[in-house]
Amino acid sequence: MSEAMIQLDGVKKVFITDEVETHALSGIELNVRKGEYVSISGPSGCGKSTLLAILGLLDTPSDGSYTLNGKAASGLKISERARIRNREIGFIFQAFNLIGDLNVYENVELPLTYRGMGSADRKKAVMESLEKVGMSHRVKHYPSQLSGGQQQRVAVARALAGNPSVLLADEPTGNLDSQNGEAVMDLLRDLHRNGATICMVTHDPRYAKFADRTIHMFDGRIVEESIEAVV
Amino acid sequence: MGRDFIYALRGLRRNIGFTLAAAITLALGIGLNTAIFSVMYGVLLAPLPFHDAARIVSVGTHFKDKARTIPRLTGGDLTDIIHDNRVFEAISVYTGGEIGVQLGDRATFTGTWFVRPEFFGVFGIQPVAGRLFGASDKALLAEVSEGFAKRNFGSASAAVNKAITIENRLYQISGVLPAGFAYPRNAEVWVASPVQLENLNRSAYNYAAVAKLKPGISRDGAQAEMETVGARLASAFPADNKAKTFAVTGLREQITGSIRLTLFFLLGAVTLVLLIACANVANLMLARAAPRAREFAVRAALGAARSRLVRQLAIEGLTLGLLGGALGIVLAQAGIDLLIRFAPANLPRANEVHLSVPVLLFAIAISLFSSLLFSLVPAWNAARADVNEALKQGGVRGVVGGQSGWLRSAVVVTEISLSIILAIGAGLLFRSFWALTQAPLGYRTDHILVMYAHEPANGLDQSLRAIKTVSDLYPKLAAIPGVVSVSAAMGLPTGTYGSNGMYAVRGKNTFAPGQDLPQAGFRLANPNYFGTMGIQVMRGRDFADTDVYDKPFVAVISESLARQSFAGEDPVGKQLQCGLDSLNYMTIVGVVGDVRQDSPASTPAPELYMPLAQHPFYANEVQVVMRTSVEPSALMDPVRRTVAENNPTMATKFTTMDAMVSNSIATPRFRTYLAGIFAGLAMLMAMSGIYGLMSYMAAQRTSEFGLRMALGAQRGDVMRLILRQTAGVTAIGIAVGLAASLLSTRVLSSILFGVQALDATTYIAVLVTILVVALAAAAFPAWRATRVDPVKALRQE
Ligand SMILES: Nc1ncnc2c1ncn2[C@@H]1O[C@H](COP(=O)(O)OP(=O)(O)O)[C@@H](O)[C@H]1O
Ligand SMILES: [Mg+2]
Repeated sequence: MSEAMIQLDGVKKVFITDEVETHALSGIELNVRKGEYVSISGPSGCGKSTLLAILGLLDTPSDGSYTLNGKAASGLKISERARIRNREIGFIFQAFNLIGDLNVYENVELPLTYRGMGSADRKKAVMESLEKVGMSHRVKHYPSQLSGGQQQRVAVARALAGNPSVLLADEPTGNLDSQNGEAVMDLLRDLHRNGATICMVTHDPRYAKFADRTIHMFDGRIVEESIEAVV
Repeated sequence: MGRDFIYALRGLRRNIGFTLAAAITLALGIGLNTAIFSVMYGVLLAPLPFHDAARIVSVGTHFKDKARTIPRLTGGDLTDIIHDNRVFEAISVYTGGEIGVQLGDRATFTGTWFVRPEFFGVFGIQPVAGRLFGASDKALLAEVSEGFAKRNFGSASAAVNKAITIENRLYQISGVLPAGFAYPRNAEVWVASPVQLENLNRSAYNYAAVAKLKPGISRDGAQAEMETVGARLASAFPADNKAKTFAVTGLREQITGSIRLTLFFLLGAVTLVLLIACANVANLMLARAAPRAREFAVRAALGAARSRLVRQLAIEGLTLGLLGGALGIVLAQAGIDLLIRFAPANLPRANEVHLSVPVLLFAIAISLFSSLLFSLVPAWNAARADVNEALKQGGVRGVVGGQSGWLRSAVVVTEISLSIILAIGAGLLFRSFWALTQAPLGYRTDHILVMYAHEPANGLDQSLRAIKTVSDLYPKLAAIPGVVSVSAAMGLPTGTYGSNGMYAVRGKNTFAPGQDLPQAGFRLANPNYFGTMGIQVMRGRDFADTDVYDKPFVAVISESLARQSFAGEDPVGKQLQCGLDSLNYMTIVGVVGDVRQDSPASTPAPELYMPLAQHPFYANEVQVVMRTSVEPSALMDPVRRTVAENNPTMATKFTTMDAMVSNSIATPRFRTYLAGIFAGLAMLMAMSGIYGLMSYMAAQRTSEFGLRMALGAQRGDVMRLILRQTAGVTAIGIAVGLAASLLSTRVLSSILFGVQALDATTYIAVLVTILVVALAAAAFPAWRATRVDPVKALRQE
């Protein structure tokens, strides 16, 4: 068995707004091995995005523990969390979230600039990851000049560029038509085949089946895990 | 239209925070402008409070070679001007100033002026009691002011036919002039001057003249006539009159000329403040309009005419402008009080400054103008808004980041550049004022008590006796504990007395016609004046007790005069003469250090010092200087008592050398402080503009910041983004402001002392300050940006 990349023990998340407590996560146990492709599904509001935010160190659990790549994630300083996000995690969002003022190259380069990488190294990494997503011919374009599918491929390239330990994708096809959606899914599958660890939230059962394992959530809990037969 | 106003008021009430911020900003701008304008109006523009004031002029001498006009004439010239007069309905000489007036056993310094009976005709003034003295009166008569009459005799009518003594002559009060008439400066007593002027030469500018133009004669017409007279006298008396002619100046311009530039400068400064305030309000309105852009777009899509939307904004602007104007007028009233309280004591017509109708009209006009200005930007923005774009809002899907906000940035750039102009102006004035306070004066100012003393005297014998009376006092004053040394002068630095004119050096030049004679300031002094004042004796000796009227005449010259006339020679022992009183030759016995005479701003110039005892006609009115070992003002009372006990007829008035010097730079101080306040205010407004802009920008970029943080940006990285954007906007503002300053601060050159209009230190200090101010303004928005929660910022709606 390869080693654990993600380990969640009894993770809870409670949001308190206007004296109302929302139990977004109520005791999550989850292990993701290195190189594993996990898809997370469940009805809207069941806590999928919250779970992904905790995995991505964007949010902290109210209770329980989280170990990422062998290191406990609790009690880290804000700056350390930012550093880990930058090096260990690649995010892909539903709304592709490219920065309008930056061109394709600069968007992909962005996470690398936050780790003080030399510009030659950055260029190599950016071009490699743009090639992986088939967008290397569009480096000078601005997001507004690209289609939705192309934008999301650029977003994937940005997630890959830093060579992260884990890719976290929250409904990456949610804003795409089915053709573009499939292309992005194919891309993720290729990345997985080349060894990437992926946690992806999706509603779409067609895409869920690309994963090694599908987790179903309901009301803040994992209610079912199904393991796909390896093709 | 009326309904639009009601909507506008309702909207403003709903948005009370915006309304208050905008109205207060405007009120500051409008209030300052109104206050400064009221000073400007009351001093420079309002007609003088005299009958037919527009026809009252002053006649002075214009030196063609120096392109300079002085408001004084020589006796010879004035006599000819009066004799040849065809353009003036009335013309009168006047001379005088504050001198001692004796009433019973008291002597008080009183503004006393010798005038001809025509003087009252010039001003069209009528007595409130008694009568005006006339040309046919043979007796010695005087008019007094109503204030003087009430103070000394109880009422105006009680003063009539009472006696006052001036220079040992008894004058009978023939009439009392109405309260409020105090021309010339601080006049309280007007006495008849002799028909024949005492000094008829054409080189001593001892007389001033006012005149009233004949009806139908314009000022230009009178000027042309004066030039004709000037030309005639120039050919008749080439030695003295070759380079001069005569100038007719409106009395108002002549009285207020010295403060004119300062007031224009201050008005310019507050105009900049108002422009910045308008820019600020424009941005507030833009910010307020932003959430309504969609509403406007929807309405436009539904067919509402653009003009309607623009009109609504314009009416809101107008309402806001009038609100700000009303508040501004209230502020202006307070501002005027403060301005007058802190104005230099020599500000002419200060009592005529108030919120008059023209000033109120001005306030309303600038309120309307401001409304127009700050409504223009949002209205233009609304009119050009792309309906489609606004409806899409948020722009392209899948893209985060701010709207460029270039319009708001442009407005803030304007604010920054305007405040830079103001700050550089204020900085230059400050450096200049600082230089003034640091300028080496050539004498010491601390621990010197000054007593203006006037001992009545009339004729040579009395004058010679007065010299003795005054100097007999010195040992008694020196005996007062705390007094270290005592002397006196006529023509103290920064004082109100002084004379100047030409001199001739024996063997080099003479007062003969056709000679180009050198100029010098004339000052009279007692022995030990230089020592008491700390003026250095560089060569030769000080005046001695033996330099008296019946001994050989002596003089002491300043280093500048030595350079001017005795380059490379030893001046001691040389002889010279001057036109002060007699043309007696004086032997130079000493050379003293240069002194900045009129104020710390004046360049040290050639000075000719003569012993008081040898020039008795000037010796009964002196400034006694006492070096003290204690705080000088503490000795005023003991000195006053000593004088009163020994010489009850001597009028005295006290000040200190420090106070005199301070007064001499009151105007630069006043404008420096005001400019500083205005620049500070401008900076604050620019700061709030930058704050507003950066808060807006940061809000626009919230999701971008969230994204960057998700991707690993540290808080510092996000903060830097805002600060960099701030620096960018500021840099453009600085570039524009610098260019504008380089062009505009030149106008200050003429009032700057010891600093160039392009002073690098000032420029750099202002730039650093504005950068710090800008970054400080952006600090809070930047800090807030680092608190963005990436999860929230990136959440899909
Ligand atoms: N910042 C928050 N404050 C309060 N409640 C929140 C917050 N974020 C998420 N929630 C609530 O937590 C629950 C889970 O939300 P989320 O994880 O976004 O669900 P999903 O992604 O599965 O649709 C929801 O009920 C949501 O309203
Ligand atoms: Mg979700």
